[in-house]
Amino acid sequence: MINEFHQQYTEEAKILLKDLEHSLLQLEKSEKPEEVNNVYRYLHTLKGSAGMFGFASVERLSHQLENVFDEVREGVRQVDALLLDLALHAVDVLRDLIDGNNADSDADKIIESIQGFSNAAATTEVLSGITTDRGEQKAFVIFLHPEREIFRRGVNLTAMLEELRDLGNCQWIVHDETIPFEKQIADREIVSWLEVFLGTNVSAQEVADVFMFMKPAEYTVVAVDGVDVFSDAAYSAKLTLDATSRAERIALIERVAPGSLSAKAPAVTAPQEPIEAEDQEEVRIAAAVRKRKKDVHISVASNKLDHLINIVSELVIFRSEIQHLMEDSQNPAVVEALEKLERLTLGLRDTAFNIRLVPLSVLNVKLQRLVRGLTKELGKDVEFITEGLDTELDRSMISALEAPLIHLIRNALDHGIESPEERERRNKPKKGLVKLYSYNSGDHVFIQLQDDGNGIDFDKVREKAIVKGLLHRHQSCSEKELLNIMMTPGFSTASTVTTVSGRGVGLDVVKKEINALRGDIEVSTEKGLGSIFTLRLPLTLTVLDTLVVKVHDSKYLIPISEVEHCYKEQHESLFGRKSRQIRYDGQILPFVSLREQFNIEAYPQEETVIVVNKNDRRMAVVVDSIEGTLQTVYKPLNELLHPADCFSGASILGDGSMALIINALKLSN
Amino acid sequence: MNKIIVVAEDFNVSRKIIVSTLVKEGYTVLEAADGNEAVNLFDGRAIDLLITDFNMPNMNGSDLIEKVRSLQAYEFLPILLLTTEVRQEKIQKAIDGNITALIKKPFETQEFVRIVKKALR
Repeated sequence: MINEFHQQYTEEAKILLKDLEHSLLQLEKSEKPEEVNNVYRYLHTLKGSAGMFGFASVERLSHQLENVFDEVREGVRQVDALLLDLALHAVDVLRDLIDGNNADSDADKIIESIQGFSNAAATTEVLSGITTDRGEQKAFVIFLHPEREIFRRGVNLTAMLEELRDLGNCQWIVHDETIPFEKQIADREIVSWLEVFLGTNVSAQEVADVFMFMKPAEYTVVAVDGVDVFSDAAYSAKLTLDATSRAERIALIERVAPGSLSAKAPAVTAPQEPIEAEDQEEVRIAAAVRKRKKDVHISVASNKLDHLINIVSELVIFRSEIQHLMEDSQNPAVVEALEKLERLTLGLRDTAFNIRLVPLSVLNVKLQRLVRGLTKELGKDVEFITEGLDTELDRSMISALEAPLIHLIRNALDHGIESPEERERRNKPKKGLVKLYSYNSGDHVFIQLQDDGNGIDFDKVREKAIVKGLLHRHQSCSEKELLNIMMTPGFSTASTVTTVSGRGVGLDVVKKEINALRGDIEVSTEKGLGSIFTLRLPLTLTVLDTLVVKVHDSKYLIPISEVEHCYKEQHESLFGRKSRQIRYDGQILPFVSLREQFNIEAYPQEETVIVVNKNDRRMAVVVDSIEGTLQTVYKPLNELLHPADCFSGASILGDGSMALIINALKLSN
Repeated sequence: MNKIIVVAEDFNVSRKIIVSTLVKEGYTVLEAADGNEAVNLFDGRAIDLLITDFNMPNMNGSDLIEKVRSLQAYEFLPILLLTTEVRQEKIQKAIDGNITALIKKPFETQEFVRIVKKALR
């Protein structure tokens, strides 16, 4: 029993430490009272529970720190670099202690320095009370009368509605919905008009900005400043409301911007029908419940989650199998049941995969600290900005990304950003800029690391490549090729080996790790101005859209994302040429016939050519025919099969048989 | 992948300014010095935005827009039209219901970038 609690405590304590670390780093940027409070609170919690589980050193150390931050809270001490250094160091020691490492002597040492610190004349400056400025929630009603053909103007109505959602809480009523609104959007022909209720803290101008591309006649933004708005001219021009629809709207506004009406509602609203009041109350309670629910997180052991995903994956495959078996069934009840099963399994799959998604920001604290430590070590002055780290990725991918990202950041700080003196000489701002941002696009997540440092010196790269024997002296080489060379094993340009980077492992490892996640890395750079490293990663590791192709009597899969073009050609005309090449889009491309590859003697009359494009490298694969597309669950191959790297994995088809996923580019070797 | 923008503008300096602004924002830009050149770029490849001038030799802006819109792949492509024309009705009439927004020249870079970003959403 005790053991189980012990485990629970260490897990919780680690989360606390992480939050603590994050708050400390926030404090470094700006000294906000609420952040000081957070630090104090975390330390207090840590101390309280540590005593119960016999972590004496943790208890003592957090107690000392708590005292210091109490003084900060009281305004008798200021947060300075020294204090933060000490506190962050203490966090490391605390982590060691909780991990069960013997760090008691470290703890004693740091407790001593904290005590020394406390006794030193504490500054008595009082903190200025910064009030949190979070802007009040305002409510707007927006009438949208998009033209029927609005999409034909290149105006993306969907994007605009999404943008509205991003501004705050948003609900809408669709009027004249003769065709389901989703269908109208899908058909790109709008017949309805919308009444949108928006609760947000941005200004009316910013709300209007969303409709930049709409014609003035297509939208009206009305700021709601009380229930009077529903009898205003702006409203009555569009709609005449009876008591029920009025109540409905009041409830909606209460939902998107709680309190915005009641705060300013004039006394006239008092004698309202009792039903309305009840409605409002219910809505308010519902909103409160929702708010509370939103904050609840449950930590689950990751192997449980992996187990769930495995079962779900099997279920998805099993469903295809059943569908396959019952395909010929004429019984409408069976067909209906199958459809229901499909809907449910797909829903289950999406939800299960979603659980595994974790925002990239979980790495943020670690990276911030890395940058902080490195800049000190290297004597550089760098601002580290992050953006879009709420982008979510598969949990396993996040942990796999940690090492490559750390590597890239090290690189940027060590090789990219110049020393402050050098930067001044070059008329650049003294403080270097390293920016990490991330965004979703299609079924991929992009992570970019941008620095405004020196960029990649291609002359140096070239020279180095020649020295390392990766390039012949007289061989001309494009910048793109040089970038590729940079990512081959055993290449590292740092002229002196520093402790930070240049330890022989280089970009090749990063590239390998990213490729292992089925992602790509791309570099763009400008000498003297900086570089951008772009990582492109699939949203989840396990789901893959594929093209099913047939060769002789077996089926193979090609990832759809790699397929560029498919066409049919007679066997004779394809193989009649001297070399195994086709002409495509003005280029000569090599092709590989899978029948030939697998030593199958007979050939079909008509072959199917599939042009594959991966990382801008193209080639063609010749198969018998295309069977269709399949969303499938990716299974890695057993290690024994690794030498056969023309297959990147395997998957199970709807009929339960197995098919290999082709890694086309490896076929040509 | 990078968003791809086609810029059609006959006046070299303006085009260069627009292109460099967009490249700096991280977009991939395809340049065309007149309407004909621009139309040739719309060969079915993925294009995310067209920014075109109104007055150009060898097919003017409004003909270009009409041509591009008639191609199925670009039926819903965002299109920004650049113009110095003060008498806007004339233009509005020519391209009504076909373009996403009008940008009046000369424009401020920041505002321009903001519109482009918005159009690419």
